[in-house]
Amino acid sequence: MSTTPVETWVGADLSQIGPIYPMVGTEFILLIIGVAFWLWFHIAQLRIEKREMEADEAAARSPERLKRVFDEEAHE
Amino acid sequence: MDTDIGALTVIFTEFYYWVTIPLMFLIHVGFCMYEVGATRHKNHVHTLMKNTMLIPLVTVTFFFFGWWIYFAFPNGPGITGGLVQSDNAVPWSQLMGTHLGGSTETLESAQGYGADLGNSFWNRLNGVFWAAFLLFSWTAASIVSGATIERIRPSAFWILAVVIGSGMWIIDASWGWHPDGWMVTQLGYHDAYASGVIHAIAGGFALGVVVVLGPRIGKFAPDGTPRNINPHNKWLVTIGLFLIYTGFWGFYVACNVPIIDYGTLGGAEGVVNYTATTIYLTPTTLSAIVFNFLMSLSGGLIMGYIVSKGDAFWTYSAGLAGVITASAGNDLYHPIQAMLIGAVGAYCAYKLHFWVERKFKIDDPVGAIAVHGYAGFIGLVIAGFVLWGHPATAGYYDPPTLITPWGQFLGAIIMFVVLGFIPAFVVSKILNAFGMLRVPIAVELVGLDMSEEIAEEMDAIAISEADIAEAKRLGLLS
Repeated sequence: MSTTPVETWVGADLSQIGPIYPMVGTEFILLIIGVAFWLWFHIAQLRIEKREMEADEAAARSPERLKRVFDEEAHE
Repeated sequence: MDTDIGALTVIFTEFYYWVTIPLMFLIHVGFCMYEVGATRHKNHVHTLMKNTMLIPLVTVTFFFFGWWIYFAFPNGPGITGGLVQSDNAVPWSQLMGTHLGGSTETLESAQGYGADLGNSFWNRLNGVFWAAFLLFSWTAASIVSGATIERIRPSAFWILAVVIGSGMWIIDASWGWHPDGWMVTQLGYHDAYASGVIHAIAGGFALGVVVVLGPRIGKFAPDGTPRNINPHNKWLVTIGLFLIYTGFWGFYVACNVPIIDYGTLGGAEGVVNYTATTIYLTPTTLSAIVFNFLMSLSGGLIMGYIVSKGDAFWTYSAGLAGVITASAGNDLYHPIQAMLIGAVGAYCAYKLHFWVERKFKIDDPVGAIAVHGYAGFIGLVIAGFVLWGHPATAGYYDPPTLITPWGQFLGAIIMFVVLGFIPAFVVSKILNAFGMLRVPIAVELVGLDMSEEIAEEMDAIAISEADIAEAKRLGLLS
């Protein structure tokens, strides 16, 4: 038994063989999972970005830190 | 694949496109280096990640729908016909995976463009064609990335990257960079190496985003005078641009079909004429593009050095602008024509960049809108005059549609404005309305990398404290 349509290459006529990836016939399901994975990234990333921006804004409330950033910028 | 010459042709073509892919990868490496070099220290990591993460996002979406758009949209749809059936490119197609070309019950042969060639053609070429087009998609999105550095939210940029990388550019490719695209067959649009279909659209798109995004804090003095925010690391910028030049070799080569019998495309009957062609299936040679790539690069560099008075950043950028301007017709130009056209494009891009900056307060930190957008637009228009009357369509269109200045001008408007500026402006406005486009002012001031820098500081302090404790335990420190 094989997860792919091929169980042996002995005597194979390649002109008669089509797809050889595992689980042929599940392409639609794979597509739905793939699209969900892509959309999940955008949603999860928005949450990460929100937390990061809050941390950055908090850091910006320190005059000492801001001054250090501006000093570095002046010397770049 | 059922004859020796057929098999060799297909396998050579497969390898040919495969080689273009790692070469084009260098364009993205170059863009990353270039952008980080142009960014202030406080924004380095975000700039890098912004450009890096467009790779997976554009890739997966180009698999999901971008590739299908190219084959399905040559007629508009709704301009010269409906959607074209494109079995090879739908994301659930068996040909979008490892496939040996044999017929199966569910897919006897791919229907649509190249239908007569069937599975045995597409199973070898689908993936390498897909990847070659995909690398163009990354380039289009990366051009936009450069114009938006230091103030756009990464989340917003990545949505915009998908819109151009897997949406707008591939629609324009289907319309104007396809042998049967309606812009080619109706307008005589000719853009062999993508002055418009990549550069003008990406420049127009970047402008649409930047108009809504606004300039970086401090870019303009209260009286409106622009201030220079110089590149942080000019060496990184330089190497980045060299890598982009290098990657362009792959970009140019990927725009050609390497070997095809012109007798099958409407050439003389009964005569076997193997040739390379452009994407429009019009004959050209690799020698043509080697001559013209280097001569247009040279024209741009020479003019850039003079007009910018030796400024390194603008000299390099002008070299790129030279190539981009000549690209529309670099399959046909004489090398000296390519050089002169490159020089004109570089001059115009440089002058327009600073004029637009002063006049409209547009902050384009890397000059992407000028180098890609204006140069690409101008290159299309120039090609309309220089190639006036040359057939835009392949031999199987009888009579052919001819290249004209008005067809090229209309094509440039479609690329820069209709498919570039307008969609970017609309999507950016929507993102802006939800407060999702630009980072908060405090974050922009302190830098987008601040939270990472604080975390790194804390890590360093913790390690230092651990070292001190160990030194005290060993009696090395009291």
